[in-house]
Amino acid sequence: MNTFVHNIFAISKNTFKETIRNKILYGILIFALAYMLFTLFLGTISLGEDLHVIRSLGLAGIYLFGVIITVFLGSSLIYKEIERKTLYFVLSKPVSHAHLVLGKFFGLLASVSVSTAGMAVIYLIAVAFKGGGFDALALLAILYQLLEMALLIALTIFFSTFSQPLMSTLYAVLVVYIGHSLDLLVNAVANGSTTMRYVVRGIYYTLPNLAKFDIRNLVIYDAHIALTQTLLVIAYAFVYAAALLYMAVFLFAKREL
Amino acid sequence: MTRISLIILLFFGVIFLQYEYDAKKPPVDFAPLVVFPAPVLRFADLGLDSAATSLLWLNSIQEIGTVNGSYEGLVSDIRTINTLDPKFAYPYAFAELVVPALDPSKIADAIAIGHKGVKDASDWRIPFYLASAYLIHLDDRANALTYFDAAARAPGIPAGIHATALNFGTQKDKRAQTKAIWTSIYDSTNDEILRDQAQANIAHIEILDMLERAVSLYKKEKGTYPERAEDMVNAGILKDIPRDPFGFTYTIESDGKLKSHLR
Repeated sequence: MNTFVHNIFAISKNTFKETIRNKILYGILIFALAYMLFTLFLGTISLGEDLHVIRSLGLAGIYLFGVIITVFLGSSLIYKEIERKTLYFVLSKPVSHAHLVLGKFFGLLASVSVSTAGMAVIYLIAVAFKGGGFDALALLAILYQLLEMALLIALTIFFSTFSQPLMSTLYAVLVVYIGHSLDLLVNAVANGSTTMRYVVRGIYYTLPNLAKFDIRNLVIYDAHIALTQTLLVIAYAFVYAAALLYMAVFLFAKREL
Repeated sequence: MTRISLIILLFFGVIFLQYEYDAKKPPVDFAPLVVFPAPVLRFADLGLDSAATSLLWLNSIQEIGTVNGSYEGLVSDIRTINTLDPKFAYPYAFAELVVPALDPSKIADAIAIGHKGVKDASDWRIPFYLASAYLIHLDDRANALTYFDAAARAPGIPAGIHATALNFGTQKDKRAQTKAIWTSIYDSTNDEILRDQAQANIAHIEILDMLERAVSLYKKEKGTYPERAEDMVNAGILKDIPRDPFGFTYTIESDGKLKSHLR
């Protein structure tokens, strides 16, 4: 048990250092900062709806830049180790495939969390600057977002065990899109044939249903979020990520290096 | 040094060419931004409905008064905005004020947007502007009364506007009509909340009537107007000062007119 935790911690620390030093990350974060400042300007031309514009566009920006960071960094995570042949070295030590996958997962999650926290601080300053006070509910929306990012990281790691970075990125972006449109898909076939409805229901329940991680539209209006809902969302992210990581370990171990 | 000078020179060249290009190009009307229907936007915006509506809102208000801005465009944008994000309050209120100003014959659209707003969003401005639209454009006092009353009960209404909304129709010459409208609302509904509200408004009007009668009586008896409401109690004209259901207190001005204050 001790070796297990120790190995995962060592790999995640290493992954964190590697990803946090990535120049692409800084490029994206500079864009995020410029974007946040731009929302302040947009607020001033909104006929008195400054806070609404800054909060809605600010939270959307934190989300979109978070997805970009996650997908770009996550999709090459395992593949890079194979390409550079550093994997042989790591696996020659008493380190299993599971250690490596979990270490990569937690390391990238830490990087994404730190980047998101940085964007969140800028957002909170912007809202306070415009007289909105401390936007505590936004922190809940960002926590939900981090749960979605955890699931996305697991997904990109899963994809990167069997495909090249470009394809992993493409798959991940598609899943993000579909994952946020499953409710619409179910509505679209509500009047369709029974078979069609069952097929869509199957897709609805098995693909990552990401709409539940989006409470941004609610927190903007200070709506109450029930504790049960939060607990279910945490459990969903945990179970889905666990399933993906388990499959990633399995595929990774099967892969001929 | 020569290299840097050359780069600077080239950039000056770029700026000059852009300036000349803008000066020479023929005027072109920009095509209006195509706004897709709400279901398409909802599919495309990754669930970021509020952010999408903020952008759409910014685009709509920038176009008002420009060559691309039109009444139809504004109404359609606001409908899309409020279908995507029904709780975004200001566009409803804005439509109630601006649409009839752009085209008074389209008041029905403004009213319809206002009704949806009262149902879906929570903001005192929506019923307040809806009441104003009914009053100014349709001279419909019954509906104006209903929505001024809804505005007065909406959370976050500023104190001054709260008093205006509550006092709608209580000027001496309008009072009888307003009382009749509230009485008909009271008689025609089984909704307890609405009945309580009607009762409070009727009581408010009756208190105003009673105080004014008492002031006249005081003048007739004493030759001067009372300085405070308590003077009428001391003179035995009033048993006590009636408690206003909305919390108004009253002072009497030197010409005998009542002035209401909301604490």
